[in-house]
Amino acid sequence: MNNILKRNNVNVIGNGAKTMVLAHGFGCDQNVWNYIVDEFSSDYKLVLFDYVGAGKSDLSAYDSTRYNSLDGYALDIVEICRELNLRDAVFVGHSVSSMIGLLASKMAPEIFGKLIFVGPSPRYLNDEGYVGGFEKTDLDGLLEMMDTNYLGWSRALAPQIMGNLDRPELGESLTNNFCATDPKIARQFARVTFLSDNRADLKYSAVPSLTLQCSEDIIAPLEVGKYIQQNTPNNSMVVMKATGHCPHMSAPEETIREMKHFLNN
Amino acid sequence: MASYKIVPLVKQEFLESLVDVEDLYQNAPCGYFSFLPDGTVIKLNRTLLRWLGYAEEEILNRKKFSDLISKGGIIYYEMFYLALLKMQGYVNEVNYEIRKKDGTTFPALINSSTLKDPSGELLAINATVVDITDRKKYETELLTSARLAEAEKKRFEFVTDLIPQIIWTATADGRIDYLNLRAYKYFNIEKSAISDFDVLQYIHPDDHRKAMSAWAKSLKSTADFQVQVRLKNAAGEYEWHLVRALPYYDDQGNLAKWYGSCTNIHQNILELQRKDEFIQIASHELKTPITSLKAYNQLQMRTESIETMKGFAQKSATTLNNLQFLISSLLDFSKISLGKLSLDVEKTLLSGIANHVAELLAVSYPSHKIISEIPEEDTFVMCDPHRITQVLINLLNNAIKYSPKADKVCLRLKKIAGNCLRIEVEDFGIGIPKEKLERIFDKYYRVIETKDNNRASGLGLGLYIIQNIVTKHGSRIYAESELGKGSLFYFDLPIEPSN
Repeated sequence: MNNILKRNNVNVIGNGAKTMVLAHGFGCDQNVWNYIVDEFSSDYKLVLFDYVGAGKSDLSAYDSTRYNSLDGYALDIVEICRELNLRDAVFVGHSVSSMIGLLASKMAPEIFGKLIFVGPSPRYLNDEGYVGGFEKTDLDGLLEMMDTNYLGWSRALAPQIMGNLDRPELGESLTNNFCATDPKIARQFARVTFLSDNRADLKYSAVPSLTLQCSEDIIAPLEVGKYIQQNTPNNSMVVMKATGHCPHMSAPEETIREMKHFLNN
Repeated sequence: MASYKIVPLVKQEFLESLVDVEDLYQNAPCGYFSFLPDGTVIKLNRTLLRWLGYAEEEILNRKKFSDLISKGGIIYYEMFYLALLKMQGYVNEVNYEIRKKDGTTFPALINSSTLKDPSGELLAINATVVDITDRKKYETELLTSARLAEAEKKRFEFVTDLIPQIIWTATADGRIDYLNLRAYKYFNIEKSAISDFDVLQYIHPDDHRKAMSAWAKSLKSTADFQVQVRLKNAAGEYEWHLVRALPYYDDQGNLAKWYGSCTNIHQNILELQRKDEFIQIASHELKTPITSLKAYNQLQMRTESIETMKGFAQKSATTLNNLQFLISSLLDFSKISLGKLSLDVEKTLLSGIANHVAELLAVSYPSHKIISEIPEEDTFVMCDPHRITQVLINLLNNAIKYSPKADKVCLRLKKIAGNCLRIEVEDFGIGIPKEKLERIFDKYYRVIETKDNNRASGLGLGLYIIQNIVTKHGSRIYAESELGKGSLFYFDLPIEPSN
């Protein structure tokens, strides 16, 4: 298989004439789309992938310099789409991937005809005159939780006490192994995500886009959705009944309905 | 596999009546709670209520799970936990800081599982909360002590790396498990090679037996270990080391480790060897004139001729002079060694001494012309005239001896800057190789290995003695030389006002 497709564990399913690229958010892998892919697979060719460091991607391809900003992840998407010769495709990105898709679209405008942002945020940290929802200390709290929990809490400590600070290899059976991401990579991804600021990029969005805003989303509050809607050309926002940050998992029907509504109009 | 039947001891109904499920739920030693997919808490047990400090009505249907955790915890919950729950159906052993009503927190492990309707839709999440405050405390302590131990180890390594000796440690059963920086440099090995470091490879084969039997003996008896062996250095040469180790006992009195050192005693050992060699040479040097004297004596007794007798007496006198010189050299040497070389300093006209020495040597060595360049004016220095005479004689002696093909040597006195008088002896002889030049003033050092020269210089003491004499005068003899062209020896003494 081609290096790029292997690197990002790209899976193409469905046999529609149009193409939809689905980009998972920070924390899991392409499996998060399991609840909605069936609904689109007859009309679309669906491109699923894992970011380098997540899921079944090629960990050896991880480059801490390249992935030290969202641009590196955006470049992954551009490379995948070019490899597959995509044009005028639909991009669906969850959470941080919304902005990654926006950046990819800025790099290669021909690839995407429409963008769908699920729970997007151009900046997670509060700033003067801007409510992102988080402070820097909250990020530290997250990083600490990731450190203590990635192998299941009880396994994180032993190597430290034994004085072997090198992490054991992944692939060892984990307590919670579904979204197994290399812990060092996940840590950097968390930093890059929560320290990113893409507010200035919004105005470059050249294609129609949809913001799917959940009710009571602590990660991406309503103000943030509104900010995007107001600062992104040709963006429409739908406030969903679904609560939380992952409507594609918690309320797939509503998510599918709103996506179809946007795509078919 | 063996199967066996459990014979009921009591009736089934009685067994069932033992367990009050509601009581178990409410008063379990862990917290239980259930929440809707949006996080709203819909059920919880008394234990958890007590931990949280809420009244039931304050929390039920009012608080969400996210109200009970930190913001970092919320991100984690949304980004990881929910995705996992959704896909695995359960999430185990995730550590959250749980926030109580009073704002304080406690660490807890949360296990959750999902409750779904037949269509697969998520209805609620059941969660178990285990308070791990104590466990975390102990683990923090463990971590702290692990870090302390690590820091202690680093400190030990830092200090041992400072020491110019080789420092090592070994396990109670004798396996070397630590070497300091000095050791890595000495043996020229990588730090990572410590696990398969084989010390025998670095001990001189002739010392293997001695080293290993002493080590085995110490390991068995836990007595202090001490042995002298040759260790191979980075250049592949063996150097003598004094290897020592002491057993270290832990607070329970168990032998925990051996702490050892290797001190480089190569120079001391060489010094001792040179001393032994010196004694051998000195004995030989002393024996030669005595043998001669004995022979002259016997010949004198046999002869009737007064003339012949006189001739032998003359020869005996020369030999006796040599012997006297030899013995006075040895005495000087032992005085220097004991720090008892003393001077009788007086104001001395140095040109007088120089002229006297030049005349003396001219008589003894007709082979060489002694060219004296001595200023006409009287120049006085504070010195021991006898000792300075000895220095000049020695220098001129050497100059003549090491220039067998030349026909002259020079003795110069000249005023130099700083109101000093420089005394120079120059020859045009064989010269001294550069690498040997700096060692010629060492004791026992002989530029040419000769044993049959019945002069003090044959002992390798001459320059050593006169350097010590000049040093006693607060000065120092310097030597310059070019191979095949000759050598220049000089030293300076401060000039005394003439009146």
